[in-house]
Amino acid sequence: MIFILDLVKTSLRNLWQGKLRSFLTTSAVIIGALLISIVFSIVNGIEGFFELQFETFSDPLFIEIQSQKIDFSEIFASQGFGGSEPSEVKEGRADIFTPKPFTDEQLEKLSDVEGIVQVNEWVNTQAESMKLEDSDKKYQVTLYSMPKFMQEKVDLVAGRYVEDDDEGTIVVARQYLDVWGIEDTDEVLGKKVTLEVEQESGTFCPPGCQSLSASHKDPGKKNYEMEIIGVSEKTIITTLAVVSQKQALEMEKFRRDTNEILTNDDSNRFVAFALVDSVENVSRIERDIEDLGHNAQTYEEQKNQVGQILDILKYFLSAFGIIAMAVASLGIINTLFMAIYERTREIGVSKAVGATNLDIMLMFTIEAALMGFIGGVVGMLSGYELASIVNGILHGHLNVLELVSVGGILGIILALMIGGSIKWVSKNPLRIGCLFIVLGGIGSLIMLGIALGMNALLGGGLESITILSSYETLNIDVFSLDLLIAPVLSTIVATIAGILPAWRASRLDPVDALRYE
Amino acid sequence: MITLKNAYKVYTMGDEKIQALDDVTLTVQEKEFVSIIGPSGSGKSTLMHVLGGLDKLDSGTIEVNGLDLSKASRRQLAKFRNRQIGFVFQSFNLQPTMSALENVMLPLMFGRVRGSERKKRATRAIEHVDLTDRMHHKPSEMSGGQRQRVSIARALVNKPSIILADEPTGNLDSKTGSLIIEVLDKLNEDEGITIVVVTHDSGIAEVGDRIITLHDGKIKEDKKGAGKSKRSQFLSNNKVKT
Repeated sequence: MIFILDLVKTSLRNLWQGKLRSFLTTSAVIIGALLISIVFSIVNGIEGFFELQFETFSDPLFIEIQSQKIDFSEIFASQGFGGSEPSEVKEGRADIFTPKPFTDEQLEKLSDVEGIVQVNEWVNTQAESMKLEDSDKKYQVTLYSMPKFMQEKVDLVAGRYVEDDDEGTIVVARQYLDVWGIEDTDEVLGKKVTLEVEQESGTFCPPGCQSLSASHKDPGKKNYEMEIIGVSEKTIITTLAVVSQKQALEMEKFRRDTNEILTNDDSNRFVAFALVDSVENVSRIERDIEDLGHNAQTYEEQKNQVGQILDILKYFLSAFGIIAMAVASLGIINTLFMAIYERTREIGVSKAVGATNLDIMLMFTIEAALMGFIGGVVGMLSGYELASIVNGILHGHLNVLELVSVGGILGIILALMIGGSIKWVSKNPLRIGCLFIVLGGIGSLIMLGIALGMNALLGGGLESITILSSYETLNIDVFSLDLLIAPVLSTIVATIAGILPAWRASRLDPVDALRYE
Repeated sequence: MITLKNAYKVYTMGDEKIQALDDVTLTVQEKEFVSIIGPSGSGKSTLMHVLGGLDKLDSGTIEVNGLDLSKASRRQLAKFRNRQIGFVFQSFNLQPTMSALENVMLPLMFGRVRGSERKKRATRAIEHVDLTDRMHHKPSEMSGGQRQRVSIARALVNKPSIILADEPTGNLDSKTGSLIIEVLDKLNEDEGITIVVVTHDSGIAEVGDRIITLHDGKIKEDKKGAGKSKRSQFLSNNKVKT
């Protein structure tokens, strides 16, 4: 162990001796680690934000139920692909393209499942626009007709929630107040908005079905006047507007031009939500629901789905960093071969004084590993720091103290590089100290200037780039332990890269090596 | 004790085959001070490498202090070089990035000696060659003679039984060269270390108790040298000269 520490010390000295070359070789590693860290910081931030947002619309006590269980293995079979022979058609089998809608009886049965407190159907309606009274600007709107127990997951900044049997009331997202130019949240309560609902232009008609398209009529439009009774906290859905289920039903009847909504003749009745009595029962209830032939998705499952997609994104984007590291390993191999060439004599002397082949091999492998490790750590920290600075800019406020310390550290590193190269400085500890203070101070001051200047600009003329300022909880600089993947990976890659040169070095004949000029 | 029997060694340089050792049989007793002399290409460096366990024989046997080097594994040879042998080279072969002390500690590092013990022993070895005041200097900040003394300190730090010196005075002027001989003499006298000096300079060779002349890989002459008396005379001569 002592020996390994000695080799680490020796390797560090060798790397320091060839500062420029070590830096150039390591910079590819740094870039790789930096890319990986940035991707991880950003995706982790988004993941955390989604989780938080997810919790505003979901809850461990909610189960989403789809009318029919979909067996994906039958998708291909149903289209005639796959399987060695025609498969049997079973009763009640799902056709994924036209799943069977819920019936009243089925919903009745669901309500009777032990542990289910309430089953609510989802009325999926939409409006073209929303307009505030005394204004002629129309804004996009996303209508949600949530039962009150679901609404309560979103905090209100003013007013009250929509009751399940309310009519003509609406809760709007806080973001609307910004576009309407209203600062006082209470001021908006009681104001009227107009929702414009447009009728469907007909059933979906794939290319080729001309006979139906001929019967297209101009879609009808209807305005619904609603009273704002509440303002919800900012969420990821900028255009959130909540109406009661009763209200949504009325709009949807107009929109689809039918009275058969949420009845046995409604062909779009696919989704319902169940509120269960306790978390412990969730998995049992999920099984019960599936036994009834429906598909149940619990909170955990939905959450994992989002997590999985983001994880895939994370590893996919990290591929760039991994490619950079692979390229870096070629650089490391090249540098080490050069080093063997230069240090042939050193290898010969080491062997003459008792180094074994394994010792020599370790010497060079450790040097490679150190390049990977140092590059990885530097890359990780700078990647995180970069994400942090960009996060600060996007949120409209840079962390001055953080930037000043970064400046100080950069100054000291520069001082170390300069001090190490100039003998006049490196000989005298006092001179090194002075250089540290001067360059560290200059670095800090420059960063202080940048930070204060940026903050002034972001508050002033550059507001347009502070796009995240509406989402205080969306940070793209979330440090989590998985960022350590960058240095771990770079160390492994570099160590592997070092093995071949190290092996070559260890096999050098000491007699040849000593004769070598 | 070194016992070499019917040693053969051929190496190729370019297309040419050189018979470096041609049926060499030789015994060196403990505490002997031996000079090996011969023109370049006579095989004296090869002989030294073989004695130090750096090179293997093509045929024949070599035994040093009871260890059969021709049968030893690479790991055993490394340990042998570390514990039994001290090499001194013509061109010093010091690590330019390390201080004198660190250079001397190098064999102890490969011998897995603990840090504090390492420093103590290396300091003592440096004291032995009278370089305590230059201990923390790098080789580039030292004269040739000082560098060679550092390399001798490195050779003796592990208390070897044999020091193999390949042209130790080759890169030095005669005054500093004589100082090096003085140090080697002291080690032989006080510590009882066997000294084998390889040289092409007959003046230096004279200092040996025994002078072995090599030619084309064969021992041409194996005679008694002036030894101790010559060493003292050699030293005083040089001292008078300067």
